[in-house]
Parts: sequence; C-alpha cells; structure tokens
Amino acid sequence: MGSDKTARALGWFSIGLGLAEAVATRRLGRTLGLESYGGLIRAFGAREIATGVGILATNDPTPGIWARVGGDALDLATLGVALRRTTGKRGRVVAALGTVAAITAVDLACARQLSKKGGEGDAPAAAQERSLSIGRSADDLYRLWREPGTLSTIMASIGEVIALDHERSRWTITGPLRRTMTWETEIVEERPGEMLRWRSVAGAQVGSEGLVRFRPAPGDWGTEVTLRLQIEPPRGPVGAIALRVARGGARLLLGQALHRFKSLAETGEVPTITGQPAARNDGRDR
Amino acid sequence: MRALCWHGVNDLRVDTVPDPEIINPRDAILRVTLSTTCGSDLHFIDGYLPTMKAGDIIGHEFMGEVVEVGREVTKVKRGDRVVVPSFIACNQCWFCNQGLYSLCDNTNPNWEMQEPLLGYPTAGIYGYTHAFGGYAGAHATYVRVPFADNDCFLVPEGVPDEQALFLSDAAPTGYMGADFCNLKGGETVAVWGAGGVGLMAMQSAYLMGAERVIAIDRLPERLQMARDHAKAETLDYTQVDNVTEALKEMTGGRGPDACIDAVGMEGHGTGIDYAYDRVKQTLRLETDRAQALRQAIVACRKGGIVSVLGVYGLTDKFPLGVLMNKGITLRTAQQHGQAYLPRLLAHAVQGELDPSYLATHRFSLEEAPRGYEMFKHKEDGCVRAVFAP
Repeated sequence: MGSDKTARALGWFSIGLGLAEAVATRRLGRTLGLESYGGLIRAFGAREIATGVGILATNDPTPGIWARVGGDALDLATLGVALRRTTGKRGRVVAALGTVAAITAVDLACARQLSKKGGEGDAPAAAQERSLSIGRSADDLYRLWREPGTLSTIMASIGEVIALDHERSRWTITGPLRRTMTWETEIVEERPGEMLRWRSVAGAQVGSEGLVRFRPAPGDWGTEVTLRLQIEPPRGPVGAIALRVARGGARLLLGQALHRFKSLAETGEVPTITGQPAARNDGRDR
Repeated sequence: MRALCWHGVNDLRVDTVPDPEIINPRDAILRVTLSTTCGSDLHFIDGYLPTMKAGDIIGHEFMGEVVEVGREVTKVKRGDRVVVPSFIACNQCWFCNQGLYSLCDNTNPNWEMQEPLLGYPTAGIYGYTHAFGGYAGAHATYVRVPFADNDCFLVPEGVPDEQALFLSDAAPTGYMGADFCNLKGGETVAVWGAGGVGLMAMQSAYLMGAERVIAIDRLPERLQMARDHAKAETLDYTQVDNVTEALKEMTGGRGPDACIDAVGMEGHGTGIDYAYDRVKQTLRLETDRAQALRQAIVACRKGGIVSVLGVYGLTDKFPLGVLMNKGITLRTAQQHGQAYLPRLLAHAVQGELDPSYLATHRFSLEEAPRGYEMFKHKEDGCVRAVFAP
C-alpha cells in the first residue's frame, strides 16, 4: 500500500475512532477504568475527528499524519496513567496500550514516508505571484529595489532580509514552533530596468527562488511590478507545516512586500501605526 | 496624556496613555485644541462596524497647534494653528493626483483587512477601526498627523477655532455632497438628515447655485436650524404619509433635481420597511437601516443625481431597478477633504460659511463619554458635542 493510500485509511480511522469516543464516551471510560475522565475522552474524540478531516480534505496529508503521531503519544500517556490508577481492569488497559502502540508504528512509518517524498521534491512548493502598479518609472523602481536597505524594509512582514553584498542576501524566517530557518540567496539574472531573479545558493537549508519584474503601465499609472516567490522549506514535520503556512499566506506576504515597496517608492516611507499610543498592552501598539 | 478610548460596544472611557511620537519623517504632532463627535462614530460605538480593538483612541474631526514636526516636514511649522481632514492622504499617489484623497494608496497600513470586502483598500483615517488603518484618534491631548505638509491646513487669522474645527469633516463632506450634485444654477436639492453634515450640504448647495433646498428630518430643533442657518424649507417625515408624494407636491410634480443622503446606516424612519430593517439589523442579518437612501432614490426626479454621504455597510433591498429605469446618477465617496479645504477656508474668511453653530454642546475631554451619550440620544437638541482637551 502506498503512503498516500495508507494516509487516507488513517484519516478514515481517525474519524471512526473519534466518533466512537464522542458517542460512546461513558462505555469506553468504564472499559478502561477512566470513568471520571469523560470530558478528556470527548476532547480526544474531537481531536481525532479534526485530524481525520484534515487528512482527507487536503491535498497534502503530511501535517495531518504527523498530528496523528502527536495524538498517539497523548493517548499512550493517558493510558499509562490509567494503568497506574486502575486495579481491576489492568488487562483491558494493557490490551488498549498494545493496540495504540501498533497504530503509532503505522502512523510514524506513514509520516516518515510522506515527509521523505515531499523533501525529494515530488510536489514542489507552488510559486506565488502578485502584481501592483506603482507611480514611478521602471528605472527608478529598479534602482530603489537594488538599494541595500530596501529588501529588509519591504520584506519586514515576511522575515529578516540582510544584504550581504550587491549579489547576496541572507533571509531568516521564524517558522512554526518558533524554529528559525536561514538561507542565503544570490542574484542569478539581472536586466536593469526590467527584471531581477535570485535563488538560494548551493547547499542552502531552504530552497528558494524569487523574481521581480518591472513593466511600463498604461497612461499615467507608472510601472506594473510583479513579484514571484517560491520557498521550499526543509523536510520533516516542521518543514511540512511551514510549507502549508507558506502556501496559504504567500499571497498576503507578497502583497505586503509590494505595498510596502510602493509606499517607499511613492512617498519615501512605509505607513505604520507601530509605536502609537493606545489604552492596551503597555500603552503602545506593537 | 489623556485620551477617549473605545473599550467595547457602548463602553467609552478617558484613559491615561503615552504621548504620541514622531514615527515617520513626514509626521507632525498636534496639541489638539478642539475635537468633535461625528455621527459615523456611533456605528462602531454601537457595534455595527468591525475591527475596533479595545483601547483604541477615537475621534477623527479636529484641529490643533503643531508642537513637533518630523525631519521631512518642510511647510508646516511649530506653532501653526491648523485644521486636518479626517482621511490621511499622501499627495503622491495616482488617486491623490486625481483629487480622490480618501482613496489614497499609501496611508492604510492594514490594507489587507479591506481587500477581501472592497477589492482594493481606501486611505487611512484617524480613530476609525483597524480596517481603516487603525490610526490613533484625536479625542486626546495630542495626536500624530502623518504627511503633515499635505494634511495640515493653516487656519487664517480671524477664523475662530469653532468655525475652523468643522472644516475637518462636516464641512468638506457636506461640500463634496453638494459638489456631486453638479449644480449649474436654479436646481432644487433635497437633503435627508439635518445633522452637521446635512446642514453643511444645504449651505454648500446654495453656495454652488441651488435655488431651493429642502431639509428632511424628524427632530424639530434640527429642522429649525435648517431654516435659520441654511435657509432650507423643511419636511418632517413623521408628519407626512409619503415623503415622495410630499416632495413631488413641493416641486410642482417634478421631484428634486438632486437628493443628498446625509443619514447613513443607523437612520430612522417610519412604517413597515423601517421596522423590517430595524429587526434585521438587530439580528445582524444586514448591517444597515437604509430607508433614507431608498427614499432619496425614489423621490429624485428622472435623470437626477443621488449623492450619498451617509456611511453604509452592506445594505440589502437596494432598489437598483428604480435607479436604472429612472436614469439616476449615484455619486458617493468618503470625504476628499484635501480637495475642498482651500475653497472652504476662503468661504470662511469671506464669511460665506460659518459652521460654528453646529457646536451646540461643549465639554472638557474628561466629560467626553457623557458628550457622546448626549450626542447619540440627541438630548437637549445636541447636534455636535465639542471637546476641548
């Protein structure tokens, strides 16, 4: 059975188990000597259903299967507690422990296989692209883009971008679970006043490719600027989640970069309310 | 400093917060000398506009004295007495170049909150939800004004504070509403709502050549003001069966050439369709009670202009077929104040437009929550509550 088919089967299993935990809460509690933990069992049921739906309803089941691995660990811990507390029902709890351990093994194998597949580039991160018209000439905008401080200003909502020299930049993004990913890019194609393309240097932890294109807009609209970004995070569960976040939020992040670039080009500053007074937090907006 | 802050639906408090600082190089800091309530504030106070955050400083109609300027500010100086339009505009983008200042591309840091609903973002505004930029408002001791050279208008000597204050929002909004009516001389203009903006629209319509102005409201003191200050004929909609028929009779069977809606989403009305809107709005099934706007569209003469100044959310039962079959032109915008301020200041200097009578009630900033209560419930004939920090 391929890992995708296994994932689907595990998704349906999650929903089935979740429904059982939600509907037959009391019976399950009695069987395992966890009568007073009805709320917990119902919560676990809800978790199983959510995970199952997550696996079945999305194109990439990888994060969902990793979530199952985490859920298995919780189940095992809970059953461990039950084993210590219960007196008469040890046999049943031991049997349940064995079953969950077996399922955990299947989940783990499936998750590993899926992550490996993703990491090998079977399904590369989709490139995201977005455009905005800016009321300056293509040459002016190109020059502004190439200024050392510009990237760090306009990419501020994506992460930290530091210009190392005229060709190379270092990107740092804080991903899920507060894990930071850092990589260096270098310019691989450059046509002044027209376009600029960059890519992760060989051996970088994160594969990425970006492109900015400047085309004259009709009338007095200035220049149509198109930004394209493709980021492929490292393999593993964090990478899989990062990829999902990157895909979902990429359009927003590209829009933020373009809007910031536009304001910088047209007015010399980026609009902000950070630092203004408000009657919350410590008195200032962050 | 002290500031009037929104803490939840119908929960306004005066808090102590840090003073604002220069953040961007074109900012200025103003010591607020006067600020005033606006009917559009009631929409978020009552909870009909989303994206307010507890602790937001509110207030978008104000004037003040410049106390500090950023390093890129060249025209505005410390000590200048200035009035500031409510919408923040950069004066550098395509929209500002067309005079469409409230559509400025470069002053809303939270553009992504508006994009899903509007398609494209508007300019930012002081103290008026985070979707509109989240800027701290002006019911405070001090306020930060971005793009100060563009947005601070020097008040000429001889124009008192209370006259200049309303050039921040009520006057330019009303003036723009009359401008939308494309008046050539001799027209009849009907204005729904005799509050600050409506009264300004009535006076502006005369300044632009209207021959007759009809004010529609239900509050006797506001109708009196429309008669006294704006030379308007008045129509109390609670005293007639049908506003359209009444207007038709008042205009020789033609209907008004142009209709201005200065009411907005929390309008009042009569009859079954008002009750229907009221119930739906309470249940949050629609955001607006738009009876004034519907009346304006039906009452307007064929081929006329309906100019919408009231603030709306998502109105349902919009009579598009009436608009279409009668060939009505609908014009609307949030105020493009920067486009009108030079003309309004000239009118003020020449004594042609004095909005200071709108300031019916004065409070200290500490009493601002009470001021909003009076304004909202129109107690004691309150048209505008003015705060002096």
